Amino acid sequence: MRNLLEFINKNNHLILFILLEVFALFLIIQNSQFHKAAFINSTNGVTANSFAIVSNFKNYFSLKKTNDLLLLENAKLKSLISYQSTDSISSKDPYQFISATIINNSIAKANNYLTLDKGEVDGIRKGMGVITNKGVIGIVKETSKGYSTVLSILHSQSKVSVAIQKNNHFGSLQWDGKNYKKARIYDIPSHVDLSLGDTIITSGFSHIFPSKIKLGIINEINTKEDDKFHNIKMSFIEDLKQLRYVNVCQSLNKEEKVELENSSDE
Amino acid sequence: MNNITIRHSIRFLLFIFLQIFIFNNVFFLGYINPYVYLFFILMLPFNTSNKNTYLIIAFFTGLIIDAFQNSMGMHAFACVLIAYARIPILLRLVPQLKSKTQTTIEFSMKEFGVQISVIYTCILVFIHHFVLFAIEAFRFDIGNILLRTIASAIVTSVLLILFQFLNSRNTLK
Repeated sequence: MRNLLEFINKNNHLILFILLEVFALFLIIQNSQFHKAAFINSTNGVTANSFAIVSNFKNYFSLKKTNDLLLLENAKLKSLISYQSTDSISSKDPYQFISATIINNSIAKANNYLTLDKGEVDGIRKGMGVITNKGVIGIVKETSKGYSTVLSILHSQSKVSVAIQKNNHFGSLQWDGKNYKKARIYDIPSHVDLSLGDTIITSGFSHIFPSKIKLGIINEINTKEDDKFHNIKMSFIEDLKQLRYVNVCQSLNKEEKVELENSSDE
Repeated sequence: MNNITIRHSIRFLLFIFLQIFIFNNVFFLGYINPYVYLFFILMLPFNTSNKNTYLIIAFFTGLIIDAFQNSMGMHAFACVLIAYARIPILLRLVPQLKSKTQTTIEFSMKEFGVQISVIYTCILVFIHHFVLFAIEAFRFDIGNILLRTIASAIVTSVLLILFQFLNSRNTLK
């Protein structure tokens, strides 16, 4: 016992070093699981509030540009509405949208997150999808009263169900951690006819994102002759570095769909 | 509270602020994100009777940066590592310091010379970045990790050496 105490006293620096490193590792592992609640993240009071202040300040510099973008989006939405009202088959899959502003964003890491200025009070819940009219941004990971964090599509654990617009073959999209402008698409059989420049849309199978949002364009096909699946890269239409405003979406029929699918599994 | 404590506390606040609100938004060539807050850790005094305190300070510095980047624990891990490696590395570079480690020595370019400052900064920045990117990737992709480490370490080191230069000119006056 005395020897032990002496040993601890002699090596206290090394022991403190190891303890701190083990604690840091514990935090890393704790946080790496997608649904596990992390106990310090950017939805909590001090960090989120300071992001909000700086974000307000930064918004002034991009007002003109934002305004132009909003006008464009407005015009597009208007045309969409007029198109839908003449359409005899109305959509059977209603989604509810909540608009939010991004107050923190990252693109350069292997696992990226965003912070939004809306939270539980505004109706945002864990697992909702985050989109813009030009693409998919991510899935809500944590919420607090007034803020929420989003697991970006630029995260090693993000996976989105997508389809090729021209023939509706579906696959899944995953980021390979290298360039924030590009991502890979898996699981499309190699017999499917593809060409560079084809549009990628969301398939809507996941109940998280609405279907038929255009999100990318194929810009690389490296399929070899004996491959079973296509080896494709696409580039995002949305510039994930310039984002400011997003929509958080929730399928109003999600529960019904999930219930039905579960009951047919049994 | 003496002069040194106050100086380092101000430096701590200043560099945390710079890192979170300015340098976290800077991307050279699209993906190089300089971590200038390391300046604070590199500039902590050398005093072997206080070295446990420095480890704890480094841990919390890293944790604050983590909280703002959602990278829980990664910066804390890398910071504690360089805070631990800092004193042995400097003793290796300047062996005559060994007799004086009980007194508070502050690192400055003026006192230690440009060459030693540059080597000291580069080694520690490289260790920090390598560990950080390796943990972040969490898979064995050594080429990508090394490429990111080298590119980012060069930018961070240049900035830190520049800050050290400005710092030593200030103390001259």
